[in-house]
Amino acid sequence: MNFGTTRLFDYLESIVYRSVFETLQMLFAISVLSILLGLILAVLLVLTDKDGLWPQKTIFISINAFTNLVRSFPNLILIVALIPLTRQLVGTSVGVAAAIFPLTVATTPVATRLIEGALREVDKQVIEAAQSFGASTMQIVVKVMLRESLPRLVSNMTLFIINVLGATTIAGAIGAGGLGGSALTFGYQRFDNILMYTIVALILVLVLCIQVVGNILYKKLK
Amino acid sequence: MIEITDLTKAYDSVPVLQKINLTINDGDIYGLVGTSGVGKSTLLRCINGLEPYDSGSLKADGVEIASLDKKALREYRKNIGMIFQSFSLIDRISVFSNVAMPMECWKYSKNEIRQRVEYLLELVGLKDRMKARPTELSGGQKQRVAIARALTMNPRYILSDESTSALDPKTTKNILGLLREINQTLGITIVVVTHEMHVVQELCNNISIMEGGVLTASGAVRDIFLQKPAPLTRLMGEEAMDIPAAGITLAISMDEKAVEGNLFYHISRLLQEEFTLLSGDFSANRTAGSSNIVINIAEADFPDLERFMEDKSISYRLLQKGGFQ
Repeated sequence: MNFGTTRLFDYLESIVYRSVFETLQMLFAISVLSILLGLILAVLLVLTDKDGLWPQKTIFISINAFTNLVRSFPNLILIVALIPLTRQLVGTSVGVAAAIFPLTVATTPVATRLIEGALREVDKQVIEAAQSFGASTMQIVVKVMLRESLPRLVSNMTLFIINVLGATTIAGAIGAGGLGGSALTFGYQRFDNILMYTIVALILVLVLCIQVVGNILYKKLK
Repeated sequence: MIEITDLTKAYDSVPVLQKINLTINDGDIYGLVGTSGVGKSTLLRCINGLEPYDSGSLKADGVEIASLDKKALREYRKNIGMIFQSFSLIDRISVFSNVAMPMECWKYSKNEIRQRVEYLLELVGLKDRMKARPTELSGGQKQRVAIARALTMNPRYILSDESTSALDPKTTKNILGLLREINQTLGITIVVVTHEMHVVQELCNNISIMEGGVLTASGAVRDIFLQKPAPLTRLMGEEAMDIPAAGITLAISMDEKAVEGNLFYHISRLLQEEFTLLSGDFSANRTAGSSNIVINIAEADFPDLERFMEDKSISYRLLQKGGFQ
């Protein structure tokens, strides 16, 4: 392996810092969007299931099928497959903005399943108790299901955000920018291992930060 | 008053409730008894509209539950408090917030909620644990919180689904005492689903025994335990009694109030100990304050005993050989 010459210090500001910023941008936008969408879909899945509070076969089957279908795509393939649509919507298929749309599509089903799992763990009898004193479906979702499953939701979402970070770095391979892209273009492809492993270390630091914040929140809420 | 006529329900053509008929009067404590899976919880859920039924009628205070739309059903459920075996509290919020939740859902003012919740927690003896999380409480305390929550909307009925089954005997006694107190002081009708015989005997006035979705016996607790119909003996896991061919066999309900002192003592003195005790159930029945015994006596002794019992108006029942009269 070549650890001889590195341009790490030349690139520090122009490439590395900018990449950190881009990654954080993507991470934030994608996480917020897909958690919001995932939340809506997960609540709908739980409610419209046959033993849910609002059984609706068609809605349940559609969301379930969409989730399974999208989840079965590897992220990279999905991004490529979505390129025409991304061009239509964003106007370009490279860069941070262009990465947000396909990655949100790719990660929303994961968020959906993780949120659904947390919501389904809420004790059925607690929900029944809420029904028995006349709480509306909306009140049960907000005041019982989300409230009761919050610690679990937080720990699942910690895992999810780390997943999103992974997805943004993979998207770097096809022009998304950010840390993944820079590690590949300026590190791997130019045989600059020092630069590459520095970026790997930065990603590791990000993962650790997310995990630590997630753990603290979980402990606080539990 | 809850009137149930010919109520029938099936899950995927498997019948769970078959032609159920029963009436629960205001102020009553009514027991639905049976082993697990016979449909008693389903019946309870039909009463508060959590489960729809296929046919028949279920009227609460004259209103047919099946005719209520979603909004009216929510409104109707305000009249009904429910308590469960697993307490069903929200662990992440305080005892106060748990009890306050029904009123929050119905958008009462903060002030009204505070007053009501404090009053109820006082009633169940947990005012000092108001800020605690349910996870910090014992099982009995949790059930008290659940009872307070069931009372927030000032219900006419309380439905109890195995609410003491997860509790130890002493705690069970306490909770049953609390339910009785609520029934007497607030006049709330209570429907109790249970598989525990002592709960029925200590708490209920009337019961129905359910077997495989059918009501196989109904009546006053006192009568049912005196007559011991087949469904009851099956439920209690007792063999049907072998009734001797000779002599007369009778079941006597020993009401402590009917005679001064111990009735059993009086009977044995009257008969000069010439009798066989076939069965004795001395567990206290609070409605009758009595216990039940079955004895076999010589035919010649019967007139004396009959006169004694009629004198003291003690209820008894003659049992024929191999069956009930």
